[in-house]
Amino acid sequence: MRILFFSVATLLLLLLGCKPTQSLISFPLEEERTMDTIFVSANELDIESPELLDETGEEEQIAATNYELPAFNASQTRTHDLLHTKLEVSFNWEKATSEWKSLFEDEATFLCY
Amino acid sequence: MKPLFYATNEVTLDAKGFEFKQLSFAGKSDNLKYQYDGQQVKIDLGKTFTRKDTFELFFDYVATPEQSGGSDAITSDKGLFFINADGTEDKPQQIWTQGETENNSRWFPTFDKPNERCTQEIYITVQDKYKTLSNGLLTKSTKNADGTRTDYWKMDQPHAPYLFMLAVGDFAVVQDRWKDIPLEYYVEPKVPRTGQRDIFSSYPLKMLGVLFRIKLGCKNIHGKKYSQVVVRDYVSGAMENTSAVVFGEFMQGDKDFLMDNLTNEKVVAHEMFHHWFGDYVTCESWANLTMNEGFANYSEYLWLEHKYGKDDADYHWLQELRGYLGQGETLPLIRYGYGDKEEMFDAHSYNKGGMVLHMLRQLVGDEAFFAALNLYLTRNAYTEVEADELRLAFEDITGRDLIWFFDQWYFNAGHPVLDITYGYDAASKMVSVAVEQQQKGDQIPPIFQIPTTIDIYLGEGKKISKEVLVNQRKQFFEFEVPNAPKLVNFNSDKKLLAVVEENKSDEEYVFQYYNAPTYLDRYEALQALGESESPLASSVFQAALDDKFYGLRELAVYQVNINNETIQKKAIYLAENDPKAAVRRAALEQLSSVEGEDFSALFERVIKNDVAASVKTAARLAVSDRYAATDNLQYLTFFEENWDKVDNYDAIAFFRNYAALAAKGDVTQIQSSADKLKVIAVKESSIWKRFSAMNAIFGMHTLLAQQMEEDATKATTFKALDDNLLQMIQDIKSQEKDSQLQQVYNARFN
Repeated sequence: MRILFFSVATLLLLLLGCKPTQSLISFPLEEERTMDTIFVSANELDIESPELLDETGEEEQIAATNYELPAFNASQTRTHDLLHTKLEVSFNWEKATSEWKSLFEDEATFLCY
Repeated sequence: MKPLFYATNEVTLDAKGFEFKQLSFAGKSDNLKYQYDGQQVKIDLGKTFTRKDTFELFFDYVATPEQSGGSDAITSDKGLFFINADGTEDKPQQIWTQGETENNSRWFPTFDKPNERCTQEIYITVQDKYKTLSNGLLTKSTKNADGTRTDYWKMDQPHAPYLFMLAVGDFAVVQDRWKDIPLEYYVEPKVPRTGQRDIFSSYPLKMLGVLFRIKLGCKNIHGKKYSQVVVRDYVSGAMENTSAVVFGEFMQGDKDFLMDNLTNEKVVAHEMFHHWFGDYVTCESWANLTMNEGFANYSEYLWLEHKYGKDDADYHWLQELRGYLGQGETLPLIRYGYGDKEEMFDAHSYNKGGMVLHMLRQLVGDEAFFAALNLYLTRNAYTEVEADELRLAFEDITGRDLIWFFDQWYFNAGHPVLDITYGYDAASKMVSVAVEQQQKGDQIPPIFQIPTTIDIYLGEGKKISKEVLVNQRKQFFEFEVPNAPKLVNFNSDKKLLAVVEENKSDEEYVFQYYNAPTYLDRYEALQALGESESPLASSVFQAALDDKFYGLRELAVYQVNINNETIQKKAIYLAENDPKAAVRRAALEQLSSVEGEDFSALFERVIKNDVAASVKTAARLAVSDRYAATDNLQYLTFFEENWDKVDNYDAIAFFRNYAALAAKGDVTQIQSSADKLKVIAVKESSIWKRFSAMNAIFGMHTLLAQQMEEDATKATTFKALDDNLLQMIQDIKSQEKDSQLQQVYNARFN
């Protein structure tokens, strides 16, 4: 219903806004979009998948389990404020040479404060 | 370190592949309790700290960086790299790092995300023969009793962990200065001293300082100095580590190579601009990568426009557009739903990001654009940003609401696909322009708002410009004019990121070529006329051989009928006299395709006299094409004397021609040539040449196999030789150390 509301409302606005010399604007009726906010909707799952069909066959229950959130890579939650990093490093070229998987070996100290 | 807001008794840091010897509070010997899974270390602090508390942690550890993956943009995620560690390879010994995206936590523990930042000190102890480089300033250098030296680098402005770097190696360091900013160029000592500045385009660098600092209104550069280092076997193109930029070997070439090579300048500009957009103000997460890369990409346009003019800059813009369209998919610039963070390093974050900024500049005007950037930088200094912070800066400067712009270009996908139909009604003297937006697809706005300009050319030098706003799916504009127009030109400033189809006639495109002001106008006309059979088209292409911009002369050379005698004379002239290497090269390539004519004397003159490596190479390739078509094995000497001068993609054709000619010889000749190719395939430092030589041996094998199949007597003659070639191919494969080349070999030479 919400989708239809947005589509009809937008279409009406555009129709009302048309000038006589302008052609009718056409676009998909079920476009779901707002131009001034990010709109994220749940994706519909494949209802043909047997594991997603509910046992009772009730439509409402199917609808309730029929969506999943899209992938979302959230920003790192910051728990601490890292102020400074101090490093001391030296390299062992020989070990890097003798054992390829140990390309790097350092004796390092790390100080955060 | 301190809790950001909520009190806590633990902290979790990224630390990949570490072996901890000690993990304690600074100055304490008692180890803290911790859990470690090889990727992150979760430390029990033993008591609860509030945001008013600050604490220091001490780690003593061994780090063993190992590769677990990579991407097209950054081919390895190892973080820290030893190059030629045992000194047995024919290349310098070096150590260098590559932090982006989250790989510096392979050599130090940190919160390895772009929304973190801190100041930095690093003490690097090396053998005294090596130079070191890191972020910030070299504050102190101490010689130790054991013959080593410890360099102390201090970076007292905060920056994100992925920007930390170090490099160690036998570098020649050229000291330079632009006003109060120290400049340093780290290159291999073999590079002639006169060439060391050329590599990093010393004067352009100074001009970059002038351009960017003045344009942005920023007095200082992040990190207080600006160093650039070329390293071997780099895993990407270049990296904007704060005040210590790393470049791949491509940057290191002689003067001939650098001739007319704008790539290096663009890369220098790109990394330098990152020092404001990326280092000083950093994208909040990889989903927002275009807040770094879009700006760096656009700096290339700004630099070319400043130094060479609008035509060069627009030529670059066109290449960026092609790169973006070539990605073949449409995604939002800001996208949180990526599968892997490495996917963000694509033609959207870069190319489209730069082109969107170009449109934003057009929308608000130059003065407002740079004032808004200054406000954005000042307001967000040393913090992480999202696109909305940029929008707010632009809104505060201009007073305009720009949500619509950012929504359609940053948070939605795609670009306008426009069908433009021009018309003229003689009775009413009305020009019409019908615009239909045809784009469709997931997350693509069915309607883009497009402020643009329509130019109406009336002839005799008269032009009317009309500003319009396209904001409907189908829209019709009408303009009253005094007489029939010669040309109507939609999007006349050519800044719109869009795919446009128009119904212009050949006559109108001819008029556009001669009268519209920009390179992109003339390019568009030539492209359209290139598909025309009209005599008008050929006359325009001949005229374009003398276009003021080299990019169009180059295009015209490829479009004209080179079999025409008059055109050939012009091409010969251009091959030796055009001031731009790209045009000279194009002329040579075209002339080499003419059948029945021998331009060998010209090619030899060019090899001897031209100053640009790319042009000489084109001449060598042209000669090699000729020789490969003959049966004269004496020409093999030409290849063997010149193959050290041909590299990169050109080497493939050159070596292939050598193999084609050599394969016409007897068994002894073929074996001898194959032996020479094997040496190159195994020992050459350039992977292009190694591949080319391998490819040539495989080509010989293919030719022999064909002959053996067609002729039974040859099967006997060539069997042992062909077995030798197959064994060579296996030997070369087994000796190849480059992982990318190994993959190519396994896929191609079986």
